[in-house]
Amino acid sequence: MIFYLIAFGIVVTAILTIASRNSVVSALWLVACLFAQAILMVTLEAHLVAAMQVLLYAGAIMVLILFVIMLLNLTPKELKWKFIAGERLILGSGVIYLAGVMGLALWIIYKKGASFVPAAGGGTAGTVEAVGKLLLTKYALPFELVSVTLLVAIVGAILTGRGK
Amino acid sequence: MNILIQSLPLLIMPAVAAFILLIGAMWRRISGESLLIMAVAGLVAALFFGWQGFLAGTASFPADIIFDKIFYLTVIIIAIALALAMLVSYNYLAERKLPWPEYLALLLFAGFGAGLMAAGTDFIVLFIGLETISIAAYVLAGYTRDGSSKEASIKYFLMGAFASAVLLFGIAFFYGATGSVLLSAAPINKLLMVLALALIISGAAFKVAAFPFQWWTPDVYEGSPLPVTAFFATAVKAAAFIMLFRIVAGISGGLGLKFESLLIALSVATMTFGNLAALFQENIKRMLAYSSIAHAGYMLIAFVVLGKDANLAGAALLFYILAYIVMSMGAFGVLIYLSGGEKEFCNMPDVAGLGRRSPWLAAVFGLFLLSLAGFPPTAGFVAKFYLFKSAMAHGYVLLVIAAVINSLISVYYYMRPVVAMYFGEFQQERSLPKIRYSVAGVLIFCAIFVIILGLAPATILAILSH
Amino acid sequence: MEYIVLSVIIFCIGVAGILLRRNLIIILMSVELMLSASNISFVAFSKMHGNLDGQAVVLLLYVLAACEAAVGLAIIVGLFRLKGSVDIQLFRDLKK
Repeated sequence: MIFYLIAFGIVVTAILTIASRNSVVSALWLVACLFAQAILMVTLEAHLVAAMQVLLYAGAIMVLILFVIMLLNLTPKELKWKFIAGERLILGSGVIYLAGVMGLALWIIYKKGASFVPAAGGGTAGTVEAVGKLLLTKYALPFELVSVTLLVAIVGAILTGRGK
Repeated sequence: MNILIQSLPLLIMPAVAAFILLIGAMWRRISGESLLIMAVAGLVAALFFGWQGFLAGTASFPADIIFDKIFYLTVIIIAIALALAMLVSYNYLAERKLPWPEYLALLLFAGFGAGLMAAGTDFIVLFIGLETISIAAYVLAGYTRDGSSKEASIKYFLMGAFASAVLLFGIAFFYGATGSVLLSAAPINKLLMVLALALIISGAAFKVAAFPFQWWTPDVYEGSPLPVTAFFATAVKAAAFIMLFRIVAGISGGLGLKFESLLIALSVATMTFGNLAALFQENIKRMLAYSSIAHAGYMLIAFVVLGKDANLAGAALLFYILAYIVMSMGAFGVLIYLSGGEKEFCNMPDVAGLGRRSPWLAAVFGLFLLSLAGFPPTAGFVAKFYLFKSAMAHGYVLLVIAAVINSLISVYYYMRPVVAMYFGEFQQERSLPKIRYSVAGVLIFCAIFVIILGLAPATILAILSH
Repeated sequence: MEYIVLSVIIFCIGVAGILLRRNLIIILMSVELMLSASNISFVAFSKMHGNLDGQAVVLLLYVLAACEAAVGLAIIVGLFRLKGSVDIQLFRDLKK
């Protein structure tokens, strides 16, 4: 029951995110959506991930986006929906492909839903200790590699963002 | 300790990149030439250590990365492509007074990402590599100050981010199907696995610009600065193909029959679209973009063969990538040579009469175009021949026939610039720029390589098929 | 399982946002929605399989999402300086 409540909240905020006229409003709905996702993750016993979702995603990234919106001082315009402007046919075929895949996903999930039920499930709470241990042992290498990606992003963002 | 030496070809690139960034920031008056020399020296070192590693053989270090022969060969190929891309951009950047350290560092970081994409045996490492090379590529696409470059950058970013998200969603389903992100993990849930592979392949198809996910390519290639386009067409494309190779070859039990027919369809559709769209392009840069789509279609043939004979397919793919890198780098190099001052000259009339004005340049350009079309004594012919032969050996006759017909179509548009160069009207308004030594060096290197690969492919084929 | 259905729905909303909106910043936010959809399914699958790998992966993905957002915003700011707008329709100088 509580799942459906949260899921409803997530879907509604997600739709409002893409349907808002003003980008600031849109960004705030996205914050709400990510926050609701964090609550969903708590119900899945992923405590560290939920905390990080709030701190990093709903916090840092969204602050960045809001900051840029404020910086650009965008005035809300009349909401116009473009429908796949330009290369309609080719782009459309890609979309149809994706839609097919998504349909397949839903079909599989409904058909095979029962077989997904976890075997044991006990003792998998994503505490800081458990996930942190995994992150620094089994995933130590990707954990280090991500720092290079961050460095590239920093260099790239500074280079693109600075003026003349 | 041993592991450190084994991974040196990979580590050397970000190390040199960070060094260049630091020295560029601390000592502002350092000249572009010295930074360029440093970067190229780093790549040569990566190439050398890669070769040493290739001779030493496979080493795998935690579970999620492997240094095998394919990895070392990829590092060598990528290092060559990056070094050529750097040398080719010397005059281009200098004339536009664009900053050097960031350019070189981003290219080197991209090389690191490409290395990860070749070394990962785990979706997360592959994805991190992909993100590294993609982020570097988005920034490089918008490196010059003009509007079309920025437009290419945002288009590439949106399409790339979209593709990454699709790929990531596929990885999530892969995790759901297997309970692990290792490529070799056995699926618990078969149906979910099919879904995961469908998403992963469509995400990767975006990155290699396969039909129906190819439409960003012409705009991005046309809008980006010329040397960056050369980098996209060579190193980025090669890395994406190697990643797809890793995924398809690494998944336990292979892709299965359903995906084989999907790949055949993708391959034929991609090459046909690329060739037909290239037929009537007036802009040579855009024509080369469509031609790169067509070549992606040919390269997909290797993935069809992969299910039957991984070694043969791997060797054919690597040879094709190597040949494609030298010939398209050469073709873009000629365009870079021609572009003077602040402008790029890429239209058909711009090369008209080049045969009389500068016979050597015209001859070299003709050689690269002939090679791209697949005429006999060149690298392009041998690469195609070897690829088609491997498909033939496993009974994909119709696929090979489609590919050959496509190659014949492509002759038409590759010949148009050649015809324009030798029979076109001389244009007086613009004189040729003075000699550009670094670009000329790259052109000579590429031309020699194209001919060597075409006349004596045996040695390199032997190395590639280890 | 409902969690996966939810993540597929969010993913589709993200795709719709990319295809239907013209404001670049909202398109960027749609990409973030798509990424967060895969985070949900990673966590849900992690619960199903009874191992924590999925959650460790999600933590790494946050970093990558941040990288993408930072570079994307920088590019958007650059475009805004050039054209004074973030409407994607304005950026079609390259011929189709």
